[in-house]
Amino acid sequence: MKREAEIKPASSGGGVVSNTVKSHAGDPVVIKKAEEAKAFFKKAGFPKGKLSTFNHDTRG
Amino acid sequence: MNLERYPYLSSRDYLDYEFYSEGSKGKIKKLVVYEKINDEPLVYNLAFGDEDPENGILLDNVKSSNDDRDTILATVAYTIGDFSDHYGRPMIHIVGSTIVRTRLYQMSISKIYDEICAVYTVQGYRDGAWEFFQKNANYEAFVVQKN
Repeated sequence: MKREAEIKPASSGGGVVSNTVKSHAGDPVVIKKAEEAKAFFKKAGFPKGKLSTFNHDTRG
Repeated sequence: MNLERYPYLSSRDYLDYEFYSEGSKGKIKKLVVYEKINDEPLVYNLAFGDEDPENGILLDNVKSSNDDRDTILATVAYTIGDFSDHYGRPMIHIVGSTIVRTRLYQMSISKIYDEICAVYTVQGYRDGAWEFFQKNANYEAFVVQKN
């Protein structure tokens, strides 16, 4: 899958940006894991999202 | 979040991270890679492992046994923060390369959960359903999302 092109500005972070860090998007393990994850979500579905946006009240 | 971690480097697009594990087996280069797997909802997969010293590619089946698993996991957790801040705080899928490794991830998450739950929402998948992370449950996979 195409990698995300639009990068949002930094708001925090602990890592140091370096030109020496190369992309591993094409590594066989990365591709395999992504394909396995897609297959997993097809089976499992997606979780509902963050706790702060999850409605715990089921009483209607 | 205030956890012991290794210093780490990020690629300019914040999708690739690297750091060195330091322990009884010496210095071992670790890689964390985020790859988009779904648009709506926005989900990325986290791939993690050692760098192959021969060709530089990611290996996820190496048992390095450097006696620093918690520090490594904390470092990975910090990369999630960096990545999330740049990519709209998507869901991040995490699963080990084996059931045993997924279990080890779970144990490490449990250890630092009180620290990370203020920053991240963690959900786990078990018995055919997603639920919010519980320390004593066994999960097949995890989804982490920055709050």
